[in-house]
Amino acid sequence: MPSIPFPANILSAAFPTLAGFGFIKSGTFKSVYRVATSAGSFEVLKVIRLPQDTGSDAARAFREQELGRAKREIALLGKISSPFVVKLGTLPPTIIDIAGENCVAYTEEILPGRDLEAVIAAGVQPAEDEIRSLLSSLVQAIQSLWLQEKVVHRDIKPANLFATGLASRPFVLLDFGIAYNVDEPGLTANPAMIPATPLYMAPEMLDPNFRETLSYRADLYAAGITTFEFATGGTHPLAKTGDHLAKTLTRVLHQEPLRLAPLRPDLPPSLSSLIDQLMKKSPSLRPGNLSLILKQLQS
Amino acid sequence: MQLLAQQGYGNGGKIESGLAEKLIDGVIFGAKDISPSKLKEKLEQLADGYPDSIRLFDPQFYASLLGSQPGARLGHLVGDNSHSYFEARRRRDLEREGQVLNDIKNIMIYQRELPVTSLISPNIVIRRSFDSIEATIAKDFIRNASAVNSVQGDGRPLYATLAVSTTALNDRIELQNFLQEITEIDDPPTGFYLLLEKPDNSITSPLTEPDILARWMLVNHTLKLNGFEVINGYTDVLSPYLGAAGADAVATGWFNTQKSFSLKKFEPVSEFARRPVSRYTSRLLLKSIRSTELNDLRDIFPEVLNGLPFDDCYDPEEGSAPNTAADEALQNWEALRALNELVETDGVTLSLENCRGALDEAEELYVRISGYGLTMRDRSGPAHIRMIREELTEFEELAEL
Repeated sequence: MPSIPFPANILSAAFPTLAGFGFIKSGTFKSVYRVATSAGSFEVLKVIRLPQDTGSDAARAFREQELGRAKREIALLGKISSPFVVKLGTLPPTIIDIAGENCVAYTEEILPGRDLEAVIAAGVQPAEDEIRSLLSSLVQAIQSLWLQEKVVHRDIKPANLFATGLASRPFVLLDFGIAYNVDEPGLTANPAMIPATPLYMAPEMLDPNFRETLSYRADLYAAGITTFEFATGGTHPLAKTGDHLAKTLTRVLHQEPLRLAPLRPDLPPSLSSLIDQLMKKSPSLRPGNLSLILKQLQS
Repeated sequence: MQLLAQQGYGNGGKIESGLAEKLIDGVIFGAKDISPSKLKEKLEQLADGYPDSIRLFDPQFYASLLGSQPGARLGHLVGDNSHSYFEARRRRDLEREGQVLNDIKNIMIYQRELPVTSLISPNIVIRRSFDSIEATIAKDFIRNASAVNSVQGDGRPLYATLAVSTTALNDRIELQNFLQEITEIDDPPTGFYLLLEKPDNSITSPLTEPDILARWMLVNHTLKLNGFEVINGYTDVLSPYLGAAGADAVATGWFNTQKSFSLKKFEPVSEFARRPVSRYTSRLLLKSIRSTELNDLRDIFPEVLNGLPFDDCYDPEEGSAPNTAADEALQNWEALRALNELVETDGVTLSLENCRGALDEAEELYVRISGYGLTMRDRSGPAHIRMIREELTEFEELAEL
């Protein structure tokens, strides 16, 4: 269930250097606002509600998990240098009580445009160069995360991408809440819970020991699914609307994804087959040479 | 797909003839069977006479683990006139990364002095499992090859050796995990020099064991789609299927020890080799048959013959025996080149279709031969057709085609 947004007057009291507080959206713990800074520029304020520590071990572990993820997300955004990854804003990460709730808050740059989910919902099939541009932006973001910090985003999907319309960074990746450095200990308190969005989750993440082999290829899978949806104007290569979770997970594991060429016969076969190849179940069958993918996309 | 000679004992001008006749595109010299001085001389001759040829040198470092075995057959790898980089190693030596780096470096320095067109980095054979110390050592060799070469090399392409025993291919999941790892290394080589080891001493190809061809095709396919160039050493009539999966080149020689790879040829002699029976490679049957079988078949089923120039070396007046051992090797290359044309298509799916079409034609001919009352020896018979069909289907599943 989405987190209830804080009223502007409450936020205004909590963050005296910011103004405006136009609500944008909210997730399970996170709510997002458009704010003006004291310098007169605009940024995005993210407020993450931390679960209450009710005294039980489980509650404490859950709180530690969410606090850890928030810290990790912010630290990561501070380190990654890529035009295809959202940048931190001027408000440094702050643990703060807002209306009696313990929260972490920080700002990110504000981007022009709208999220890719909204673009896809408009149902317009993009041109070939837009598809190339999306995949290229995603691959470059994945490359930066992996090469700079050995990080897997784990939640690439249309809702976490911003279509900016800018030539230098046409698509920007957001929301690193469950991003994971493969060389660091996991933060997930309940090992049975796999932090991901099922429809975009790489099949190998359903293996209980997935952390042993997890790599950027899980993100390539989600990039393939996302690009497929974009290219087709909203057709998911695996899902039928209304599937329950177990059915979706079965599809992720066993169902062969739709192929792009029959749905977009106007695209060059090399582009369609590259996107198909990114959605293979076995990670080793997804092209792992990111520079080569980028070269293919440019040709 | 390019065809290379896998050099072994007793060249006798076969490589030069193969290049002159344009049956082969180049050669892989094997350290055991050629002295350092002869190697250099041969490479220089080929560079002069056939400047476009592919010239490679397999350092055969994988034999180093047998180096301390009494009676090991190491040829020019040891002794007074041997390749200087080679030393006996124990597995525990290679568990230290420093030793691995040193061995790669010495072999790169050695090859840098040779007029080879690309370099081959050393490795050991993964004999038991991809989840083993051997596999860890092998990954160490692969992971470090490119970095060492960038210091020691001179810009020539680098192929990392990946040598695997059929036993290790049994665990599909471990194979896929291994492929994932080696296709994610930070500093990758240009390509891989693949060797599939047969743990026994039989003369049949390791690719005829259940599941092995499909999984070896998967290795080729995975490496290719990840941007690597792929050369298969010691491959014979099963090369078209590896080509269909993505191989860029295959190599085969004139003796059975150069048509399939086994460490047995470096181990102490356990049995005496038999004199090889002369054979003829039939494009339509997709395998080689004894020259006596060719003699029985050629008048009734002339399509068994390839209709290519080296058919003339199998004179029916002489019982269809080849004129010379060199002619037999050249005929085999000629037939393989024609067979490999099966897969000269753009795309794996179409290549597999072509392979299946060829299998259908072979089966039809075998049925007609059988209907005529002629029986063929096991090694010449039709058992391969069903096996290959099953392997192609399994490969399609593994590769999610």
